Amino acid sequence: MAELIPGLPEEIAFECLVRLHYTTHRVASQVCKRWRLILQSKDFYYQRKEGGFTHKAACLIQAVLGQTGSSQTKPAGPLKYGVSIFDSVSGSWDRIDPVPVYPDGLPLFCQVTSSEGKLVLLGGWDPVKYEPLSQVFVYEFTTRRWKRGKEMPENRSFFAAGELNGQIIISGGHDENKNALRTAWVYDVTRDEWAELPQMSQERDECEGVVIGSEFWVVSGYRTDSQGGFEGSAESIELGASKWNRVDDAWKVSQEQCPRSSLGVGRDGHLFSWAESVSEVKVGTCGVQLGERTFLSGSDYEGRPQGFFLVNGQNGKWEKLEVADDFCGFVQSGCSVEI
Amino acid sequence: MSSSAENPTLTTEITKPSTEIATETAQSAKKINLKTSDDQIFEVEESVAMEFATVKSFFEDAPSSTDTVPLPNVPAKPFSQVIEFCKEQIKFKANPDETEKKKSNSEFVKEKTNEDLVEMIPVANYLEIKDLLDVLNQAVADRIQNRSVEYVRSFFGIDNDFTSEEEALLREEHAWAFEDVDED
Repeated sequence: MAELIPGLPEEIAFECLVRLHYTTHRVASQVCKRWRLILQSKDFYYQRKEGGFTHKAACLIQAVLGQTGSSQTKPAGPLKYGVSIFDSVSGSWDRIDPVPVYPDGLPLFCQVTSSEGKLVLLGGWDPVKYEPLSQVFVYEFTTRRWKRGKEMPENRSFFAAGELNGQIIISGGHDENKNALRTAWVYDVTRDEWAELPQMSQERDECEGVVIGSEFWVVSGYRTDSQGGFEGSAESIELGASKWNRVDDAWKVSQEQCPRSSLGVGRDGHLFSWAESVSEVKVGTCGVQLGERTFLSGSDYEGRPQGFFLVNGQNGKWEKLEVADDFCGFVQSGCSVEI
Repeated sequence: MSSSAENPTLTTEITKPSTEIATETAQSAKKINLKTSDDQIFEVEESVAMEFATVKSFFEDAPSSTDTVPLPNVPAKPFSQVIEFCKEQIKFKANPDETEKKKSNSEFVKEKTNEDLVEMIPVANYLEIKDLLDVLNQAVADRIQNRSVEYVRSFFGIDNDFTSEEEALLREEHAWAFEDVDED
């Protein structure tokens, strides 16, 4: 077998590869067959993560502003969305190539989450026909390519999603007839398989998902018969558990408020709303936790330009981000990804 | 890389690449002679030599030994650069300052050629100098950032073992991976 790096012991050569910046992976994976195998392996990802060489980035479903040079009039259709990446370590912004079947904008209201350094896009509405979709797309940073995953087993919009141990959990939302759902499923990205989870204690449309420790939490949402009446309750589950644990009064906000994209988790595990905590982002809030810090976007009043911030906890120090025009669009939702 | 001079009696040449240190430090500082694979002898201060875990354990195993320590896997050229690094490191041991240390490390790396870096890695590994190994591994990874596939191959002397058909497929798959890189 060819040496990983000629003249260097295997374990040392591996240490060099582990330290490659993720933007170098696509080139490195074409150097030789062994490099390619290693760079694409799961083990490589976990070695990088363990060594602290991964970057915590915010992956954002963001409105792509119109190309300059086109007509000045406002676009007739809805905003077009793309996937932006903000690397909190280097402060750099980037935009991922569009999903091949949606070159002109992502499905509206699609969910985004991550699994072992890959991005996973789920569902949403067809950007032209507004029909709900069950499609799943997985983005690999190593090869910079999208591939199609197995479709979600049920038609579902405005649901909660998150990652536990590389597995994607989806829960709640509503079906094609606008009936709120209490069902939940887990997706194994590597094996490309879906399995059903226990049902939640109640229906939860427009709920939000968050991972706290080894638990996936589904927060608030409303039942079919109380449209928009957001609940104060939340429930959580661990992988392999046979039922959800329900907590009443977990989402204590001053008025009945949608938790989507604005849900924050305090150090002691309490849930709060970024929209309520930081007035600079009270409209169109999106918060993405990146380790100790949280990426925040939104505006202070309806119709005002978007502001972008990094904050240390609910009441901690914060920093305003200077963002290029390309990345100033409204952020609909986001997730953290360790690449 | 594995060539070595096992017999210490073969050598007569003695080099003192570190004369400036010898004059500016106390005369009483104990020196240790270290002999490289290409039969050069380096007279190194004990405090520097003890940075090499391999040398340190040599003395721990045989405390009374005063002979020249043979380093059969270590050629002189990268070794002199390794010594340079360790001298700097010792300053930070007495006076820890992470920012200054990082700055000093990056200065050290910046002045080295690609070849220097790749040659020092096996030496740092053999001598078990963990800090240096970390610095070098990272430096090598940084040097190939934004570079072309061809550049990376020639940097490490790696043969392209993809068939021309596989290469064509790769090119198609990564059409953009051949753009956006710095010139070699």
